[in-house]
Amino acid sequence: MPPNDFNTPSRRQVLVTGAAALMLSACTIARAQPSSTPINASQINAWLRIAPDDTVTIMLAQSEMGQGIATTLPMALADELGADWPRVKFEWSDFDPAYRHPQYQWMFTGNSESISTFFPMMRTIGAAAREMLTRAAASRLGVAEASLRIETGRIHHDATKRKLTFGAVAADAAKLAVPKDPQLKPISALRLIGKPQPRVDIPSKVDGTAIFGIDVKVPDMVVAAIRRAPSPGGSLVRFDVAAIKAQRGVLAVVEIPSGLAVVANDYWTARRALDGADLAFAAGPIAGYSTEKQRSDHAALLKTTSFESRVKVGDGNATLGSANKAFEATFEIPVQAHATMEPMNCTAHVTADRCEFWIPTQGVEITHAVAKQMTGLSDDRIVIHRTLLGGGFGRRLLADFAQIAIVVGKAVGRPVKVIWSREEDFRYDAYRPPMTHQVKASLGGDGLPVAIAHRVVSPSHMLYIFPRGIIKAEGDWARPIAPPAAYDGMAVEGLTETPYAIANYSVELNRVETPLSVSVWRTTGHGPNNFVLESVIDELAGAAGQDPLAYRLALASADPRATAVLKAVGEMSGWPGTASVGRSCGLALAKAFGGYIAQVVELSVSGKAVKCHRVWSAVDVGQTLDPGIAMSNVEGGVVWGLSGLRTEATFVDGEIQQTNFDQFDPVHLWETPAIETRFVESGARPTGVGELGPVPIHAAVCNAIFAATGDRIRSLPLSRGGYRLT
Amino acid sequence: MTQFSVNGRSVSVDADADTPLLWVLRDHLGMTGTKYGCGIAACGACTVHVDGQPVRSCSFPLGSASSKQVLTIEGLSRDRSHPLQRAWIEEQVPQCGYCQSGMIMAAAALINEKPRPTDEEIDAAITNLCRCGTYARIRNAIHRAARATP
Amino acid sequence: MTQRIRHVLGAASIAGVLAATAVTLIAPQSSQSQTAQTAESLAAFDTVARVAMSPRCQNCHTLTTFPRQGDDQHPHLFNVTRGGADHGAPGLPCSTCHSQSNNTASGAPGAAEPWRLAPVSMGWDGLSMADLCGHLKDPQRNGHRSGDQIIDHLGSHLVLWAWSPGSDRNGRPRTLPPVPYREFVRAAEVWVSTGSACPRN
Repeated sequence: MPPNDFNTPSRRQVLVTGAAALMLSACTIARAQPSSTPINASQINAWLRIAPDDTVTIMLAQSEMGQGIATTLPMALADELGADWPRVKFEWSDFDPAYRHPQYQWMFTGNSESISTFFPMMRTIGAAAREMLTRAAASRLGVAEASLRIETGRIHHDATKRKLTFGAVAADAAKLAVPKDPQLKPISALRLIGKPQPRVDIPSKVDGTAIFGIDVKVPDMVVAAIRRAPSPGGSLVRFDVAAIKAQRGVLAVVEIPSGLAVVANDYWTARRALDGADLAFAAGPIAGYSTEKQRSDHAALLKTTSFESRVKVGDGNATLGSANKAFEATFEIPVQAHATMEPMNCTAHVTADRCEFWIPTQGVEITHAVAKQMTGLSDDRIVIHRTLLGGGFGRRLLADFAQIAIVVGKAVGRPVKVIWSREEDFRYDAYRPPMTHQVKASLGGDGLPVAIAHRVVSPSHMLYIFPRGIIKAEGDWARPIAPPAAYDGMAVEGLTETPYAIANYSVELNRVETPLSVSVWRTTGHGPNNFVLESVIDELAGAAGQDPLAYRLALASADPRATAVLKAVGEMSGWPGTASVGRSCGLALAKAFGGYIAQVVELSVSGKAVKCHRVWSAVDVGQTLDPGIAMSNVEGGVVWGLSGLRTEATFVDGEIQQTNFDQFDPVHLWETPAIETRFVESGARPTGVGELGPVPIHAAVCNAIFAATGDRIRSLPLSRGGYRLT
Repeated sequence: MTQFSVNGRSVSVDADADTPLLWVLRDHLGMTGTKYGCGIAACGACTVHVDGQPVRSCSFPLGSASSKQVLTIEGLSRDRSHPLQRAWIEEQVPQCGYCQSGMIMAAAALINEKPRPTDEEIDAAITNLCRCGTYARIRNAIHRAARATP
Repeated sequence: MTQRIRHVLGAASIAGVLAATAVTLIAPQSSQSQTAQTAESLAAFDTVARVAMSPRCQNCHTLTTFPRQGDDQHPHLFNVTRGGADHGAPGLPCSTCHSQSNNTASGAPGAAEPWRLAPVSMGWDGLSMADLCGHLKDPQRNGHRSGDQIIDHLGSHLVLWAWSPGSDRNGRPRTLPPVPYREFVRAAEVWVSTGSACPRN
């Protein structure tokens, strides 16, 4: 088990020193194999340190929010390299271009992209380092490279039974050229990857030693509680500074956007002073926003023609007029709150020449960019220490909690930990936006659809990850990663690419503005769109009088990965004959995040109470790099998805109606069904599993409810149809 | 000044008697294993034991802790050797881990009273919230810990 | 037996309290005075019943396997259950969240006596006024209490709590029973001492 210094917020990384670390000459490796990534010396240095005392340190660039990435990525590097994994040390990286997603040119953790982005790179870096160490050792021992092997942190010359540590040759290796074409080990030679491994962060999470952002303590630190207008964007119009400051223990009172921060030596002192303060707020820009109006606005937009075509195959809509068995339905998806177990928080120390954070963030680069803009400091004066995250789910991609900490930090001049109450966290979430989705379809003579047309009314999911007014579209740091139109992809993902062959297929989007602050929510657009698509496919199967599994197999016959997961889940669940008396099953398939998942849910309905008994999932992530971690992601994802059938954020007069867990009710232990998961190894490029589990479950549950009751659920959450998940 | 013991150690805290024990532990005593999740006793992340009984410390004032014995996650063992901690590791329960201190303390309260709990007893006792959805493994880990304890 | 009541109500109200000794449930003899007494008894019971059936009392005097909460009397959130001894499931006693006084930080109510449900034998869910009346009088279903002891119980911290129920987590005060405490206790005493008449339905 690797030592627990993994848990320590990182020290400032200075990437350009020689300090006897493995320092490589700048030389770019050409892309040699389909799975390798071009890397150069500074990139290797960004990820791997080998000290003369033989300490191997691997940098963690992807945030750990429970998905296990802080185990699997460094493990891939260590495995390829041949390091002694239990002795590897870890450090959280700060922002650096070396850690950017190569395509987006942005450093972040999210969208289930860490594996597909960095796994090949980790192997290439490990392989390159292995070859350089081997070369240096060969030179030292005066033997051929081919006679050496690296295993468990030692370079062995079997013929003479000599061995060297990495540390002994690291300095020599650093002087060598980076190999142009490092040879990856065959998969069969990997010892760690492909088998379930103990996660490096788990021990500290069972004994109270794990440090999350909210737990940070640094010398001279003070703590702030905040309270803002109950309607986001509203303003604070009256407060009595003197009265608040007169409260015992209050050190400072700082205005922040839409509200106030009170600073004290401990949270409760600050919080109590704030709770007791007489604050008057004016309604802000979204005071007219209500869920009721949003739903009717979206519905009205469906009747207009202001839609942009995103996919058009065949003649799209034209077929719908003439073909058999026309089908039309409108679906509604609610606003969701993230409600990470650890509420938003950030510790910031802002002085004239330095801005230092201790922060649980998925968005290291955006935090850096916001800090740069707000302080005017140069890159090297901005330091980000990352902690563990008590849940991310997309919420911590934003920089708003860093922004507020900067405001308070500037006022206070000492390190200040700004903690959001649970209520603040709900009120100022960046919600999953609401969507309304109309589908028209028609069937051919064989019962399969000849035409499906989607019209989606949705705000962008991703546009506001870059906070309006904070990031200006100018300069290298302050630009959004792509023009706004490119952000719309998420609103139609899961529709634009499906496993199904449909001759006439169209997807149109009306991207609406929303006054809500919105962000990606675990499953992004895939979750909502899969609910619609798979409900429709099920209805069409019903209209055609065909079995839902057979129907999908026919439609997806040209997609072997889809076929494989469908067959697997059919076998696991015994479809269609699984359901015991009084129980019904529902099925759904998803192609998402580069992977595939098929699910069957078995449930029973009693009156309006829905009880899920079992969930089977067949999952294809290409290659399952860690079956244990992958399994836990799917299991947890099932629970996340089930919660999404019950929870929602609703608004009246611009205020959220759910401000704590007595009103926002996710699934609990006693409501969790038995979960069985199988991984199908297609051998495709490895992709992420963090968001797959929840994607098909809405449709699978609703299709099962149909089987049980004859009711088609078209609007979520279930309560809109009077149903209750129990 | 309120005196009580935490994990076997006597402490004396100078804070208002109505300060929630949660924040006394976290801020005054520097013990951050016990977590803040909701502040309204809804989520259980703040669960500790007081005189052997489970308590949601966000809803328990410092004054009520006077002369009592408080046990936190940090005090369950010195070295993760408590059967629940072992089981949590063996089953690889935690994902983000934020809820797990409270979860383990709630489980400890259950097995203190019911050394071999049934699934129904687990359902009724473990009402803590986990947004990562680790519930299936929590259940397995409780059973495993129960089996491991003679 | 009425010591606690005396302590709670203060000496001045003793005048309003009937003679302390041997308050029994036996009706008096004369039919004319019986009618008047019955009417008085029924009127007193009406007050008692309105309090007993108000949310602050009814939420814990349930027949269900769970407590209730709020003025709308919804089932207690978070799957809280009665448990075998009325103080919560093993591992989740009521005292987990409910301590010795109303908690302003969390909004959780509390009292100086361990928080718990009344036993099922003393549950009143859905009872008619007549049934409730019979229930309250029946030693098998009122915790084996005599009339005095019923009055005594009304001085317990849990009962008293209903009149200082604190505020919810949003700072909104919980509603009180329909009559002030003293009036309730007086009505109970009148009812007991006038033969504990029961309405017909």
